[in-house]
Amino acid sequence: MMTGRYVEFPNQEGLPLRGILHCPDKETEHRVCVLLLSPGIKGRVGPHRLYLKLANRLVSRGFHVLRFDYSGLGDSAGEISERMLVDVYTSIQTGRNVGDTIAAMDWMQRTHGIKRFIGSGLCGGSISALLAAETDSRIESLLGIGLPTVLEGGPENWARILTQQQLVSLRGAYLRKLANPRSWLRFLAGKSDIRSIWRVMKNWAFRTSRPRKAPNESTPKAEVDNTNPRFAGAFLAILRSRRPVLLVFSGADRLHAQFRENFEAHQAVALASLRNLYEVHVVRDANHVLSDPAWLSELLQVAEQWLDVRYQTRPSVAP
Amino acid sequence: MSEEYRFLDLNGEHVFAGIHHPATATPLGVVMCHALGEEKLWAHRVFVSMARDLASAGVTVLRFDFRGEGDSERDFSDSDLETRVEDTCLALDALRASNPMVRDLALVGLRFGAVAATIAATRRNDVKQLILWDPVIDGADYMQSVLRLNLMYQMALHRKVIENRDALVARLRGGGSVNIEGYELTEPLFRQTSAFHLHESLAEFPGDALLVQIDQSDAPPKQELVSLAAARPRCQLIAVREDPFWREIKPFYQRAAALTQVTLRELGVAP
Repeated sequence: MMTGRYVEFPNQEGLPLRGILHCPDKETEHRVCVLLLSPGIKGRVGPHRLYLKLANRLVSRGFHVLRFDYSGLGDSAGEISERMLVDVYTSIQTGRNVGDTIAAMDWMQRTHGIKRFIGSGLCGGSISALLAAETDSRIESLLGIGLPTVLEGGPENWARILTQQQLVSLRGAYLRKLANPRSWLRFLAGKSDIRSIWRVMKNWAFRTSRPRKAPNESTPKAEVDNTNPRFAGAFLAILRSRRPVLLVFSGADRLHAQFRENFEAHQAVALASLRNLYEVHVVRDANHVLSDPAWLSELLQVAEQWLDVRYQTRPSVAP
Repeated sequence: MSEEYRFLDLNGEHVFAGIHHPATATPLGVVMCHALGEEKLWAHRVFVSMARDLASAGVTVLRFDFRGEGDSERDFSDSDLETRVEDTCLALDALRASNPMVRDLALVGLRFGAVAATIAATRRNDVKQLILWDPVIDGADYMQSVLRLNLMYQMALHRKVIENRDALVARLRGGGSVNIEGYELTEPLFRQTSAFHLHESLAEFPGDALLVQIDQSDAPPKQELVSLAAARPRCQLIAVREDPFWREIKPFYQRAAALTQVTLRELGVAP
């Protein structure tokens, strides 16, 4: 297993972020860097060192690979204020790591002169890549692995970031909780997210505004809608700027179904002219982290074929 | 305080390490040994916070990745308990080299990291203290619990167990590997760990040892830990109330406050 080179760079707040940069041979390099963005809280190696395995293969095909810890995670500086894991996940899904990702690209451009990036990562890493790509065109393509379309947890975890439309759909859920003794126990123990409850209920209590159309162009749904409010807008923006996307999903988790139901089904009209810009591959039976070598092998095969077409890559050495 | 990250060299192989330098150093240096596989990843931030808290108290701390894990070299399948002990010894030497002020060495080990820490401590004469967080007590029992993860994986995939424990062990003994949450477990690690007994290793360690039982409740200490501590005059046992931060749990664990307090106190650097 190759180890790469330790690197350190400041994020937009000046906090040092720490990571590993893998560089290809000079003769084969494309001057394109794959950002393998950290999933959830597991840091820059990924579950079962998935990111090292991916980095080794990508470097052999001429790509730089940068993997680093976001602020407050891994070896990097900073603190995370959320106390519950689900709230950390929600914050990641709604853009917590975008600034750090842009800082990483700034550093690569400044120190290595590389301006072209492929955003990639597993789960939280792929949503960070998607959201960063929405605002930064240096990410010229997206290779998402287990890209989440919906938010983790329940209404108490989302309310701070949902659209008005989604808040309206949550109100009923909160009202039902009034009759649940466990909800009261949670509330009295100080475990409820008071800010979220307030945000949902004040709209109802004071009737301050009518529900407005969600900026993500989603169609209103009758039941509680847990779609990430930033997902559709970001995904469509990337496609409309003609940047290609490959999504690889694991067959045994729900993320592919959620992508179809919560995104594709709702955006059928918008996607009609963009469908040729993204590809979806499902690794049959695979679990979320692709822990079986056969599943990883399939991911690599699909990813390399996709990269070969776009970057004319060939391995410099046998992987 | 400052942090220095680099690869250590072990006969041409790279071992990733982070050294936490205190602003004003005491003679105390601590090497931290992480848990196995995914447990390492879940516990990582607690390790980082602990190292920073220790450095604030004047302790020079070195954290590192065992070969086969984290950013260090080798595939997991090519690593075993012996390589982990070698890595721990390398880390102790690197800590000394990084700061000439360091005179007294202590090892902190979490779960399986406690196994490597204990064995390494018995092979040297410069480790004064061992602090073992929720240590593996019986290596064979622990390896069975590791194999159970593969059985759970089979259940999730096939809805039944295709290969039972005996078959998995036979595969290991035949030179094959068993997938444990994406890590390929091989026979040397299985065999060496299965032969480990904490009471035997601790009996060879002449320094002070603290066994820390970590439990979410105020449960009394496990009998096996009580017996272990009672059998050795320089071994103490303490129960600390913390969530099992080496697993996926609902709270986001950046810092184990009670564990930090106990560890600082044991090292004699509590504020």
